[in-house]
Amino acid sequence: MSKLKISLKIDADIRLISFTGIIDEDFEYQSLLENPGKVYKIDFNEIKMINSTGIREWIRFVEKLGPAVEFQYFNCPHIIIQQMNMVSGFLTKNAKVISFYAPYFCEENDEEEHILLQATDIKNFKAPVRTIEVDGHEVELDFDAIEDQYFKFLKR
Amino acid sequence: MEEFNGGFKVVFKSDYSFEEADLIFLDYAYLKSDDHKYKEALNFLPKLSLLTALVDHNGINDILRETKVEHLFGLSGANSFSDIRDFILTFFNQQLWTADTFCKSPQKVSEKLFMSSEGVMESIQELLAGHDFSECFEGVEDYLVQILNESIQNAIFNAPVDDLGSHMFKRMNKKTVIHMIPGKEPVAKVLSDSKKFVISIKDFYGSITRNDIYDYLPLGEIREKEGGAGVGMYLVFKFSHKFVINVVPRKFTEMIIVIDKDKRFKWYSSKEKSFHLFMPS
Repeated sequence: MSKLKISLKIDADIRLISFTGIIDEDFEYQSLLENPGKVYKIDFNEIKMINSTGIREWIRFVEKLGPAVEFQYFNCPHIIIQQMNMVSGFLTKNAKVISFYAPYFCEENDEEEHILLQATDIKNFKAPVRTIEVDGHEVELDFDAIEDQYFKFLKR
Repeated sequence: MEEFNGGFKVVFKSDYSFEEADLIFLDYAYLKSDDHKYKEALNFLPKLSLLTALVDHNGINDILRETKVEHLFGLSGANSFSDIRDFILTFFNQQLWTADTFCKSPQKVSEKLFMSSEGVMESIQELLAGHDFSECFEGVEDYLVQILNESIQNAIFNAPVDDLGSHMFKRMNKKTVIHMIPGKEPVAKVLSDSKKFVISIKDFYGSITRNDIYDYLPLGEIREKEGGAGVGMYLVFKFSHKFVINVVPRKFTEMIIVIDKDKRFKWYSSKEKSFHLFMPS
């Protein structure tokens, strides 16, 4: 059974691609190179892991489409953001993160929340305020990461 | 160092001599100072341990790349000092740290032997089943999966060498199914207690070199080469709080990774890191 499911939708010059599972050495991207578009909107929402050889295969895939192609990354989970921050070159020059999950913590009910943020929500590398409702009242969440580390991918 | 009630007493001398010292602990900040006498300490690996309060992961990596020091302690209060005490005892008793050193009374232990490169992810899921993640932030299981994945791939593809010391599978595509030589299958072990997870990955070749470690471990750059991507060990180090590599050349390499259990990601990511390489000169 394949560890990665790929769904591709074509809308004129735009390619909408969503992945489910694990990106690793078995990442087969040949079919995504056929009939190339100008903008690739990638949905990472259901990605569980990308390992080191998966990152290399990803970079190869992006490079094969060429620098003129624009990549937009949506719904990037925590593990993808972590690796974009860690591995030099993972986030190529023609790619940008549009939306991503960020860890927040509710001290009221002692639970973590993964909040989907837009890259444009981040001003001066500070986490935006987010609230949730607990027992009928609004509670401000605590951003649960070190801002300088977590938003490093936005500093390019 | 002097024997003291069955243990050791550390003697600090104002008129120090690196040659005479049994062990040297030096604050990394001194190496960066203008006082050149401290730079001499780098000639005394492996008895030199650097201490640092740096919390920035990139900073830690830079120190390793720059100094190639074999013992680097990130200092974070009482735990660090107990680590240093254990390290001193280990050093003088000429023992190796094992997974059990860090998890003396585990609540759960799981172990797997890898006979081939097939089904690694399924085995990782089995290794982690039954360990308690309730007191951890949500992503920690993903980190353990990734640490195990990278370390096991390393043990299967990079460790095996033939009688002449040539790597057998290192340049192979990681999609290739390879089978381990019976009796030399790598073993992965996961231990956990209420405070931490400890992972041990052991191969029975002992082929890793200092150059491999200091070339790949601190530098997170994808390399266009066949086989691995060159960032596996780097990612393992990045995800861990403590990373220990035991090497007995031509016998075994054991990587031990310790991750503290933290309820909050912020606490996990702000903790200092430590690195230890035990390898004969």
